[in-house]
Amino acid sequence: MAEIRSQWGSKIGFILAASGSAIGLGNVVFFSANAYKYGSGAFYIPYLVALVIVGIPVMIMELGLGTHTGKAFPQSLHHVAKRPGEFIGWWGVLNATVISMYYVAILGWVMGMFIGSLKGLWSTDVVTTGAFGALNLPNPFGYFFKMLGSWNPILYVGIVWLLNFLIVHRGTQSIESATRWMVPLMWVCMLALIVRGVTLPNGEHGAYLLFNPNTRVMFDPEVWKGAFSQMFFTLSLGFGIMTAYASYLPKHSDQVHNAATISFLNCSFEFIAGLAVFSLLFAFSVVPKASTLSMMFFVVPQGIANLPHFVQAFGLLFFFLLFIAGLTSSISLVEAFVAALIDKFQWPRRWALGLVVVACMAGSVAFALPHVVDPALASDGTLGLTLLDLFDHWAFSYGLLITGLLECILVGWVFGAKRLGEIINHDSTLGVGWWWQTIIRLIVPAILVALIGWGIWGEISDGLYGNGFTVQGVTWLHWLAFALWVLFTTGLAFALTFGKEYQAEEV
Amino acid sequence: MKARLRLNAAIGPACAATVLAFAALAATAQAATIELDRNSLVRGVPTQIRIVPDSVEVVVHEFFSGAAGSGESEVVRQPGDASGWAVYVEYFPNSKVMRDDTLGVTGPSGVVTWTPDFAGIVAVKALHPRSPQQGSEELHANVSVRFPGVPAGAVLVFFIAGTILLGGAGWSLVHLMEHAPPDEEEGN
Repeated sequence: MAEIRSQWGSKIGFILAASGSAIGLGNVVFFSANAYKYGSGAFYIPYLVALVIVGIPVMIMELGLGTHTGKAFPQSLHHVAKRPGEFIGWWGVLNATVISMYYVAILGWVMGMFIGSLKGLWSTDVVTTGAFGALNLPNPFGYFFKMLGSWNPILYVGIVWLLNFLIVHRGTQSIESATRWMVPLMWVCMLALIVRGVTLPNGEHGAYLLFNPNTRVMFDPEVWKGAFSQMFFTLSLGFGIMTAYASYLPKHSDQVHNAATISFLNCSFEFIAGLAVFSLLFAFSVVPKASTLSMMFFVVPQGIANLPHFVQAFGLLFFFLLFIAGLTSSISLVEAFVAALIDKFQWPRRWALGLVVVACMAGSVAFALPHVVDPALASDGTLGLTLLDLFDHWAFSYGLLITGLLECILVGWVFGAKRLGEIINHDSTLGVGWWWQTIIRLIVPAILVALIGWGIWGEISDGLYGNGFTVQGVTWLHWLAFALWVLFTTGLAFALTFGKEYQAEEV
Repeated sequence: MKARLRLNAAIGPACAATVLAFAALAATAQAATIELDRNSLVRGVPTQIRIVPDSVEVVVHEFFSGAAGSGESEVVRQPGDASGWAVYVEYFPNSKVMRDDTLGVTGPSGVVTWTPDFAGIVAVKALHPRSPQQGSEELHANVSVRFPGVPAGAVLVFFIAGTILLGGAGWSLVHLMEHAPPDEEEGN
C-alpha cells in the first residue's frame, strides 16, 4: 500500500535541506579555484550573469514542477510529456545515482583524512607508501596515498552509506532533523576558517587576489563556458533533486522566493569560502588548482600544515566541514532516486531506500576498491581515480547538461513555460513574466546546446575523453567507462520507464 | 638534482698495497635553492632572486688490503657554481591568465633582480642547462607578491558581489518568511 507523502515541517526546514543539497564539496574548495583560473574578480561578472539568467530561472522551474505535480522528477516529467518525459526524468536521476556512487567514495576519503588528522596526517615526517612503486612522500600527499592503498576506505564508504540510510530513512522528517543542525554548522565552521585565514600575515592579500579583476579574459568564450557550467553544477540543477525536494512542499508555496533563497545562499557560501581558501593559500604561497580533489586533499591541507598554531584543530575543522557539506548533498542524491522509486512502484520507503543504498554502496566500493587491490597504484593515476575521473566526466559534465536541456525544452515548449509560470505566479508574491518564459524556452536551451556542443566537439577533435589514460597497459578503459555509463543510465531508464505504468496520476 | 662529487682519495703509505675492493661513498646532497626575501615582495618593488648552488658532503671510506687492513674516511664539501641559471617567473600559475617573464641568466654571484609586475602567487623557476648526458636542472619556488596598497578593483568586486549574493540571500529569505502566498492572505 502506498505511503502518505510526507511534507517538510517548515519553510526554513526546506530551505536548509535544499541549500544543504546545493552546497557540497565543490562549494568549499572548487569555486574559488575556478574563479582564480578564469581571471579572479573578472570571473564574477559572467558568474553573476549566469546566476540571473540560468541559475535562478531553472531553479524556479524545477521547484515549480515538483510542487505542482507533488511527485519526484520522472513522474513530474511524465506529467509534462508522458513516457518520453519520464524517460528523461529517469535518465537524469540515474546520472545523479552514478554521481552518488563516486561522491560517497570521495566522502569516505574525506572521513579517512578527518581520522588522519587525529593521527599522523599533520606530521612533518615523510611517509613511505607503496604508491607508484614505493615512494617517500611528504604529508598530506603521503598520508592520502597510503590510505588509498589500505582497506580503510572500504570501511569508511560503508559508514557513509549507513549515515545516508539513517538520515533518509524517515524521509523529510529525518532529513530535516539532520540538516537543521548540519547546515548552520557548515556556516559556523566556514566562518571560523575565514577568521583564521584573513588574520594570517598577508592573508588579506589572498582576498585581494581572489577579487582583483583581470579583465584580459572577459571576452574569452571559455571563461563564460566555465561560469555557466559552474552555475548549473553548483545549484544541483538537472539532477532531479530540487524537483523531488519541492514535491514535499505544500501546494501553495512561493517558488520564486524559495528558488532565489536557495540560489543566493549557495552562491554566498562559495563566495565566502573563497575568502578562507585564498587567504590561506596566499599566506603560504600555495598555488591553487581548479580540481576539487586536488584542492581538498593536497592544496588546502598544504596550507593548513603551514599554520603556526593549532594545525590539528584546523585540519579537523576543515575535513569536518567538507564531510558535512558532502553528506547533506549525498542524502539529496539518494532521496531523488528513492522518491522516484516510491512514486513508481509504491514500495515502502525502507525497501526503496535499502535497495538504493545496497546498489549504490556496491558502486562506491568499486570506485574505492581498485586502490586496495592495487596498493602500488601502479599506473598513470591509479585505476580507481581514473574510473572516478571518467564517470565524473560523463555523468556530471554531460548527464546534467543534457537533462537540463531536455527538461527546458519539455517544460518550455511541450507543457508551456507560460502555463507553468501562471501556476507559479498563483502562489508567489513575486511573479515571473515573459522574461522567464523566454529564458526557459530559448536562452537556457541555447546556452546548454552551446556547452554540450563545445564538449562534443572536444571529444571529436581530441579523441574520446580519457584516451590518454593508461592503466596497467589497458588502452580501452575510456571506451569501457563510456559504454558502461550509457548502458547503466539509458538501459535502466528505459526499463524503469517502460517496465510499469504509474498507478494513477493525481495533479 | 645532480650532485657534483669530488672523490678525494688520499692514498697514504699503504698505497703500495692493492686497493682490494671498493671505495664506499655516503653522499648527502644539499639541493641548490632559490632564495628571496619573502617579506619584501611587493608589486612594483625591485627585489633580488639569489640562486644558492648545491654543495655535496661526501664521506669517503677507503678499504685497503694488506697488513694494516684498516680503513680511512674523509669528509669533502664542494660548492657548486651559481652562474648560468636562466631565471624566469610565472604569474598566475594554473590559470587562464598565466603569463611568464624571463628575468635573465645569473652570473657568478647567482643574483638576478626582479620587479614583480603583478601581485599574487608567483612561481619562480630557474633552469640550468647541464651537459647532454646530465640533462637540465630546474629549481622551483612559489612566492606571494603583495599588492602595494588596497586594490580598488578587488574591493569593488568584493562589495558588489557580496552585496548581490549575501544581500540577495537575506532579502529573499526575509520575504519568504514574511509573506504568505496570496491564497493564504485572502483567507482561502
